Amino acid sequence: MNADRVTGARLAAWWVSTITRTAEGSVARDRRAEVASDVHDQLADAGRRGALGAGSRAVVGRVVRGVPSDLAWRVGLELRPGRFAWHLRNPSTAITTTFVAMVPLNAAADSAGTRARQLVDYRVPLWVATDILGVCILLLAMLALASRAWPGWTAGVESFQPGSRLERARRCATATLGIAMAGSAVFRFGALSLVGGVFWAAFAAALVTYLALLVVTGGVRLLTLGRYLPKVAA
Amino acid sequence: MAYRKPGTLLPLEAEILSAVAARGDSGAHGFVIAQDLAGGAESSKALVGHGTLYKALDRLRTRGLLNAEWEDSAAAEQAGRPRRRLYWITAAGATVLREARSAAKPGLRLGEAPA
Repeated sequence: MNADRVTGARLAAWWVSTITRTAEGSVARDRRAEVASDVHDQLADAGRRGALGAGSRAVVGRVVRGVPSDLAWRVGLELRPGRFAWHLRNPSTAITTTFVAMVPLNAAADSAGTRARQLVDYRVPLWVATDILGVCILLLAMLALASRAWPGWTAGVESFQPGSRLERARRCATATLGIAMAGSAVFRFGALSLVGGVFWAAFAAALVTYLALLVVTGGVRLLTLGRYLPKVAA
Repeated sequence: MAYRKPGTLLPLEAEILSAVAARGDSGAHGFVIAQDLAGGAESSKALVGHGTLYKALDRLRTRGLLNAEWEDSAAAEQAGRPRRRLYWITAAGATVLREARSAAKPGLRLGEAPA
């Protein structure tokens, strides 16, 4: 069996490409190449001992043990100077990440009860947190739009190139979901609830689009299964 | 998670510096450093996670304690494997490592905490 096709190698390659996705080009390339070389060396070493299966499991363990550090490394990378301009040029990554953090908060705020014997009303801090994230998303979206109109802000910043048109559409739909949910959360109260309603409608439309894109992506994968299966079996 | 005073080394960083220094002029690459940290090629101890190792190497390189260079692609191609990134200890790294060793309590390994 080819050592680069075992589960450990595949998982390591998938994880490192996921964690370095949308990171700076040279940093991402270096990290991917380093991990690929490390995994190759480890599996080659295991193969020489006649223990490729154990080597593959050991690689899986190394990937899993490294996840917290990988996440911390990625957060550190995002705090480097110049990254904000990159996010203005390519806002969908930051919007989607904030949206993913916002969904459980929003759900918890919605479901927090108002029982009479409850000492603390948890809805208030939950809504405050949700609204703060919502305002962040809306501000980022507006600044990104403004930087399109006045590109001086983001001049020279490289544009992220998704792998396919389907992926580009999915990124766009997810960012729209984030913006729509942020708008519906921020403009939820009082006279502004009408604006919130418009955002809810946009959210529903974006959700339908996103689900349709997921179905299409699944369909494409099914159609290409004949090409993919032999690789898995190998 | 381990926190540090500015200018000091985390136990893992001290062990990495020590492993790289032991490899001398030939330099050390990621997998061999992971093996050395686990106690050598024959050790059955689990190797350090990729994320933990490469984050620490990145930190040491940024602090100027390690130098890194990609090996020649022709050499890697000839050996039939991907290119390795080789690390060497710098003069500043050697000084910091010496200080860390002298600060370690007698009878303890570098990076080992007293019981």
